[in-house]
Amino acid sequence: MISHKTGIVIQREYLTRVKKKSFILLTILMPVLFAGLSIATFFLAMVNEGETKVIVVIDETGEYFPVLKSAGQYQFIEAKTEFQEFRKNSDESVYATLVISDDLLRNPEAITLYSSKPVAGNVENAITSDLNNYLSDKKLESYNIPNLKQIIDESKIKLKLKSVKWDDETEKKMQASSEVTSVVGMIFTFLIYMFIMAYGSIVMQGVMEEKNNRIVEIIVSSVKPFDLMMGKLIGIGLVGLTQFGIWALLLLGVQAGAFLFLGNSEIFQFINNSLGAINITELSLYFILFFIGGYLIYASLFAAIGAIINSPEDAQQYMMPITILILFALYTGIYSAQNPDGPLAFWTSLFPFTSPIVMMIRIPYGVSWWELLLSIALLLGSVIFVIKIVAGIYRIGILMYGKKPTYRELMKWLKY
Amino acid sequence: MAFLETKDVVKQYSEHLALDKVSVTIPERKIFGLLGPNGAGKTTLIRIITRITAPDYGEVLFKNRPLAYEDIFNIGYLPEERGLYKKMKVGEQAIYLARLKGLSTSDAKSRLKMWFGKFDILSWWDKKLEELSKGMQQKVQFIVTVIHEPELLIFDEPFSGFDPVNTELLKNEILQLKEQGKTIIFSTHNMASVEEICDEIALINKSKVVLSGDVNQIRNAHKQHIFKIRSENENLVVDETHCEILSHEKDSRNHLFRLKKNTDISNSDFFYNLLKKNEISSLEEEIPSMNEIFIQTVNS
Repeated sequence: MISHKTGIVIQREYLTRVKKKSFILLTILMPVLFAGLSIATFFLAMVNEGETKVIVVIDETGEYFPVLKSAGQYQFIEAKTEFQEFRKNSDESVYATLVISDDLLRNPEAITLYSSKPVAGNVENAITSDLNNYLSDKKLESYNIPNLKQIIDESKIKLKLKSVKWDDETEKKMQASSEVTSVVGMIFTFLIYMFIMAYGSIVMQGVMEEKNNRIVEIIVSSVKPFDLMMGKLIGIGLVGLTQFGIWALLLLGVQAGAFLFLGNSEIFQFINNSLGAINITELSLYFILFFIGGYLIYASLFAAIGAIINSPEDAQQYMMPITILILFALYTGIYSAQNPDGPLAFWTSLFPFTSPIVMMIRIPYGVSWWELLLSIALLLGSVIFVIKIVAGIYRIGILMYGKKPTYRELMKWLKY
Repeated sequence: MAFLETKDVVKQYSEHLALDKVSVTIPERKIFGLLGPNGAGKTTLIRIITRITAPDYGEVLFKNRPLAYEDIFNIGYLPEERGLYKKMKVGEQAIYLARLKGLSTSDAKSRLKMWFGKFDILSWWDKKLEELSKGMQQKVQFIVTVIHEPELLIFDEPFSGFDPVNTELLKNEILQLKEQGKTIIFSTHNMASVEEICDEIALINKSKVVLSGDVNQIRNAHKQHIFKIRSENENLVVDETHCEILSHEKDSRNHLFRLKKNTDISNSDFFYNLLKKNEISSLEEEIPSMNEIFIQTVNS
């Protein structure tokens, strides 16, 4: 099916990109960067918490100040002055001022938090939860029923819901945490979206480069335009798969390393157990399959754009419909995580322009085999159809210079 | 023998007729000049010959049979708009382009090394193309055009961008290729180079072939019967019924006259009359340059 010439083109497209220093660096640095970024944000949040915020409490009832517990991040200090007087003398070290003017059981609105800057949500939460607990205990006491608090505590039942996926063979292992499932699905969804966008635009740039360089005229005097286009699509697609492969290997390495160092720790056991329900290998295979389909369908459209335009500024106009389509796919994918078997998820995971992305989020939850099969068949069928149309535009576009064509002229090219 | 022939080739683009029944015959082992102003349809004709586009009507015969896809390996094409990968190493991309023309990697490499040596650019093998000067890039471009030793070579404005020294080098290479038995199509606006190296030409104007044939025959056929006469005398005695004096100049020693002869008298009678009445040191008929023929034909 692949001609000898296409093979030579694939080889060039693949090797020139994989051998680039930027590719090697990016492939290895991306996961490191990503992990680094997550750790950095975590630490930054910690640093922020280290700073103590002083909250001055003016409690006219004298009842509530002892209830407010100073925790690491914020500190409550009582001030025995009138609010108006205090305000005149207030200094910058005070983060906020809490004024309680009446019995809160009788008048729940008699409490106000003043500050010159917006107050962080967790400060409000700390104050209300401390006071709420105290007030409800006091209210219960006011009923004068012995052991009422105990009775109520006992009546609170903590439900522990486990979601179990039915599977004939490995029922005992199938204890999937729905959170982990959706996180894994989300990661794969974003990954496939990212890969399709990134490698699609690489294809577009590659086509545009050849056209603007005018080297395309030399190449098409020895290779059929279709073979050239296919060589480009396949070569660049293989670069994408290589990158995915390297990341998979890195992940395996990290997992093995984590097993050595944290093999018995609780976190590792938890992650391992929750992942146990999701077959990462199977998911990766589907990822590759849907990536190939989704990539080919979108990258061939990007190739057509690259062939039509004469400068990068022209790209926007033609990219718009494709960007909208792929963003629609991404949002449907994210939305489908809430309802992976709903009608939206079902139909968009069959529609070839959205299925590669939406399927990724559905697979971890389990999708029936016929749906998968139908989705893949529709995808591959559309790939062939789209490539056929695109080849017509590409063949003419790469040799057309001057003004950019209108959509109507593009339709005409198809008939040549 | 006709090496390549186009017969009534028609190519219609959406709103403009690029080629209108163009028939040219390109003889074997000759340099064939494809001339014409910008936008006349030269590049379209070349693209049809190289099978980049297909004609709407008409056919192209290669060695007396219809041009087939495999024949493109037997063609080397140097487009007017030069292009190579800027970021790719020179040697690497030369090998790539040679392989696309059907050479094996090892063949491509040894032939390229030979050519690179000949053009004195071997030290640039591992450099990126963008590091080379324009002239050197042109040399690389020429090499990848001829590397697969095709029988038919098509050069579209090969001398543009070359300095006089390299133009001479390239011209000699082209003439050598002809001696080796290659057939060459040479498209240009540079009429001086046409007179120097072309054997036959076709002039395309507004999508049609307006003039074609052997260069010397064409030039003779376009003679205007204008004669240049050098004489020591200030006055030239002529029979005004047979000719008129177009101009009269004087240089350090001689008087220079340009005469236009009427067609009602033969050259020998005309010469006889002139020589009988005047003391003449030289007499020569003006043969029009290709440049004049080009402008005259295109404007008429």
